[in-house]
Amino acid sequence: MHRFPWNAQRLESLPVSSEEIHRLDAGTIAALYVEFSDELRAFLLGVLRDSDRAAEALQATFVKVAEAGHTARKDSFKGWLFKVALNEALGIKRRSQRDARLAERPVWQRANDHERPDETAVRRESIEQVRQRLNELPEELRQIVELRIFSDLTFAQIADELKLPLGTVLTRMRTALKRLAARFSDES
Amino acid sequence: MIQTPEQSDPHDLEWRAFRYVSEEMSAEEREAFEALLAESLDACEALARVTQLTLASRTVLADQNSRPAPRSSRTPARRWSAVVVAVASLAVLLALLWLPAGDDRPNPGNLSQAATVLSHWNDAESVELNDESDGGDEFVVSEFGESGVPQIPDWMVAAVSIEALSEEEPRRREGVPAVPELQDN
Repeated sequence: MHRFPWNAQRLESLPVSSEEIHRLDAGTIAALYVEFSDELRAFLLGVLRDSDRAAEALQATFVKVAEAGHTARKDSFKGWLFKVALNEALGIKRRSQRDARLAERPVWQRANDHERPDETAVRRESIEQVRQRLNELPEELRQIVELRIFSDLTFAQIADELKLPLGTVLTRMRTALKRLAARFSDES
Repeated sequence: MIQTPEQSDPHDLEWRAFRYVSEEMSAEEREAFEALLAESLDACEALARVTQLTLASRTVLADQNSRPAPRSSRTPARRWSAVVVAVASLAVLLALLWLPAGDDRPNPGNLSQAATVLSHWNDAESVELNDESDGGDEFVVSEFGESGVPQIPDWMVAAVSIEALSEEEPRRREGVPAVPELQDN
C-alpha cells in the first residue's frame, strides 16, 4: 500500500493504478471535502429527499474514503466518489423504506411546512440568481414551475387545474427547467 | 405510463433528474435512473444540479408567496377614519343640496339621493374592509337593515344634519327619523 503526499492543488495527480488500494491522508480528504461536498450533498439530497439522511450519507461517504482508501483511476476519481455516495444513499434508502415515515412527502415538499429547504446545499448567490431567472420566465412557464415546486401539485393535477393537456404542462416545465438550469450551471 | 418528452430525447439528463427528484417516475423508471446514476457521472452531476435548482426555486417562491399583498391597515383607527371621511363627504353633499334656490326646507328627494350615494360608498368600503379575514367588519355589516337594503345609520344622519336641520320648522325636528327611508327612484 502506498502513501502519497497530497494537497488540494495536486488533486489531478492521484495515483493511476486501479489495482491498488490507496489511502488518503487527512489533508487530502479535507481537500476532497472542500472540492466536492456541496455537489455531493445536493446529489444525496436528490436521491434521499431528506436533509438529515443526506447529511448521514455524506458523512458515511467520507468515512469510507478515509477508512477504505480508493481504487479509482485519476480521471475517474470524482465518479468513484459519487459512486460511493450513491451506494451509501441507496443503503440508507433501503433501510428507511421499512420506516413508515418514508411514505411522507419529501421534506421540501410539505405544503404547510414553514421550514426552509436545506439551504446549505445551495449558496445564497445561487438563490439570488435563480430568483432573477424565475422573474424573467414567461408567465406561462413560471406558473407551472410555481405549481410544481412550491405548491407541490403533480403534473397531472396541474394539467387538470389549468385545463391544459398533460403534454403541454410537461413541455412547459421542461422548457422552464432548461432555461433555469442552463444559467444555473453557468453561474454556479 | 406517461408519454414524456424525454422519450424523444433520452439524453436529457436534467429532465430525467427533475422527474426523479419530483417523484414523477414510476418504480421501473426510478430503478433505471438509479442504475444510470451508478454508471454515469454526467447523470450524477445533473441530479445534483437539478436538486440545487429545485431547492433554490422553492426558497425564492416561498419568499415571494409569504410576502403579504400591500394593503392598507385594517386597524380600528383606519376603520373610524373611513367613517369620518364618509361623514364629511355626506356633510359636503348635503350642504350642496341645501344651498340652491333659497329653499331652506330639506328636499326629501335630495336626501334620499344623498343616502343612496352614501350607501354606495359603504358598499365600496365594505368590499375592501371585508377582505381581511378577521371575521368581517361588524361596523359595515351592521349598517344593513334586515331587508338587506343599505340604510344610513341614524347617528350619521344626526351628525351631519345638525347644522342643516337647525333651520327646520319645529315639526321636522321632532322625532328625527332614525332611518330615512330610501325611495325607489
